[in-house]
Amino acid sequence: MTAAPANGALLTLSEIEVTIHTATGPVHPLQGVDLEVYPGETVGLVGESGSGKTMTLRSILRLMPPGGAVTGGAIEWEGRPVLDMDPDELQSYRGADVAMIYQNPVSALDPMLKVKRQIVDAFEANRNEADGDPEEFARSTLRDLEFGDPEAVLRRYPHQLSGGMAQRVNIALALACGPALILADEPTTGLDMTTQIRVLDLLERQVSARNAALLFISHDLRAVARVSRRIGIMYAGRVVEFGTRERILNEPSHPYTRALLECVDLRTGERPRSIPGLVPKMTEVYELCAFRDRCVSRMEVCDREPLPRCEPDERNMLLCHLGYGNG
Amino acid sequence: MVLFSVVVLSFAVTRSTGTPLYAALGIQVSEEMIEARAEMMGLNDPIHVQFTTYAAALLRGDLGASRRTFVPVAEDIARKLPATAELVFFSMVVGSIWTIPLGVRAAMRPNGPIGKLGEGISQFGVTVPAFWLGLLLIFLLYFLWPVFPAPLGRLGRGFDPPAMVTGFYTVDALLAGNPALAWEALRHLILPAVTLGVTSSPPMFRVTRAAVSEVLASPYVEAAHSYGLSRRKVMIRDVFRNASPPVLNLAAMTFGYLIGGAVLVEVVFSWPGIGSYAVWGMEFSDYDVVLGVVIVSAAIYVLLYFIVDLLQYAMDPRVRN
Repeated sequence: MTAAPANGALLTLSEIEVTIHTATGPVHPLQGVDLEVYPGETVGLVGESGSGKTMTLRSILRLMPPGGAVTGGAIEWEGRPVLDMDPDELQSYRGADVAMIYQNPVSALDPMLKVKRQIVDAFEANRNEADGDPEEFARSTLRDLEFGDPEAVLRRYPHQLSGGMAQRVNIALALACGPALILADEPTTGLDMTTQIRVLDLLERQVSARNAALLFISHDLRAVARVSRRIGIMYAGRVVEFGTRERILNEPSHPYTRALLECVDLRTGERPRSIPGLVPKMTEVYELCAFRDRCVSRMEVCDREPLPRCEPDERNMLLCHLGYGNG
Repeated sequence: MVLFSVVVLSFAVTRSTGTPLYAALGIQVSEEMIEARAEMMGLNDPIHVQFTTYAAALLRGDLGASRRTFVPVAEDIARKLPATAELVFFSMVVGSIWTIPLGVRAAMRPNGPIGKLGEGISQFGVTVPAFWLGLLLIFLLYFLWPVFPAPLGRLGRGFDPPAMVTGFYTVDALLAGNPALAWEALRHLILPAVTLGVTSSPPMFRVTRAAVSEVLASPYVEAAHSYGLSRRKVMIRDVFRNASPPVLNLAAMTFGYLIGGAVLVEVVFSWPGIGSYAVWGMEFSDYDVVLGVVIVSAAIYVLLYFIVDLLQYAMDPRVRN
């Protein structure tokens, strides 16, 4: 589209802050999120509930909950500032550039409309006649997503779909927009184990077949590790460590990443253990490390100085006083 | 079932209040005449016999006759129901004109001025009694500033009703090719329709606002925006469609309620509808008149519920399963 930025990133988030004004006072779910997604790559974000994963995705599309706003930082799409887009620019950016797959697949579909109408509308809102017939697209996409009888599914209403089917329909909706980046918000949470793996594999295959990038979030490190080339670890509204899958899984540097990996043994898939301590309250803004109360490597400097940012190259990043290579 | 209990209840209530004998005979009568008349009208029979007689006639579609004029009640109601229906229809129009747009706007901008205005009108509408608002409007817009005609029925002096087609004078006059008569009928409708519309519509405002704000907060509306659909398209395709069932439901209930519940406004505006007719019957314990009106309005209510169920069925795929 427009001239790409120097580093070639599709999407860049720098120091994103989000504040939501609620009846009980302000909440700060994002406190400086840094993230980059390059064309065609798959990035996973992992974190506990409340760490800001979903809010990160919503801020990328500028879909804020009532009372919420991006209060700091910058979002760039192919070098264009997303936060400065006017409503028309925003509408054409949503869908055509970035599309989202929602966590609860059934409630993300309009209950009054047939699957066909929803896919056709998403297609027509973002494409032109050169992209072919919307109904034909809907049929072939559903076939790609392993629906045996696409025609029958197109005639159904959302409440007539199972969770796994509804999630595949949501994937078809995102694909119908023809985006360069797909955001997936815990797309497999409500599904049973075998369906989860199947939906994840389908998602990954269809996204890479279309040369699109995928930003995938989950609290499940195993699911993220399965599909992502790079993994970000979120804690208390920040990405505390970011790196290639190999680096995160084999040489984790942040104590929180290590704790997470200990929780889930990737080989045996044992029952997860929990990290001692409480998830920090997001009603506070954390100037210092928010993890230090639960950290086994806490040092004196952690209570005194704000977090340093280690960025050895453009694909790895760490927010910790320990620095790299202290495992 | 509903209709049966309505019949039993209203039968019991009307029978327990007063006697129609003096209305039929006047007050200058002897004991013997009263007794003979009571016997003739079946008022000396045990109550269950009286009820069986009434119910049997009702099943044949016979609502009895007025004890004063001896005109069959069914005939009177057939003549007066269109007047009430036209009034109620126009007051529903008045109610919808403000509640729906303001309710939608109030849901979109909860703290905006239009939402506050809607809340204000709504508060006024529930607080003010209908008959009082009617009298106030008559005082202001007829007596002080004569914009509207005298509150004496459906047409002014010198106008003859149009040939009956729908029973709505406005519509029938237009069908008869007489716009002047339609205008006259409309002028007489406006004040009572506004009175009834303002006082009966506040729940519509609240339900519209609640339904629209619930849909606006739903994940599928956010998802629709995330696919890059225009805001206009999302409003029409997703928001209005999903918010309409509760609003429609309430509108039908309000309509049904007003058919039997427009009594005070009909009396204030001398509107010759079934409400005035029921009051006229009540004044003289004219059992069959009162019972007839209650039963007919209950039947209309039940019918409307049925129609709304059919509409929900047609509109909402979840109801169909």
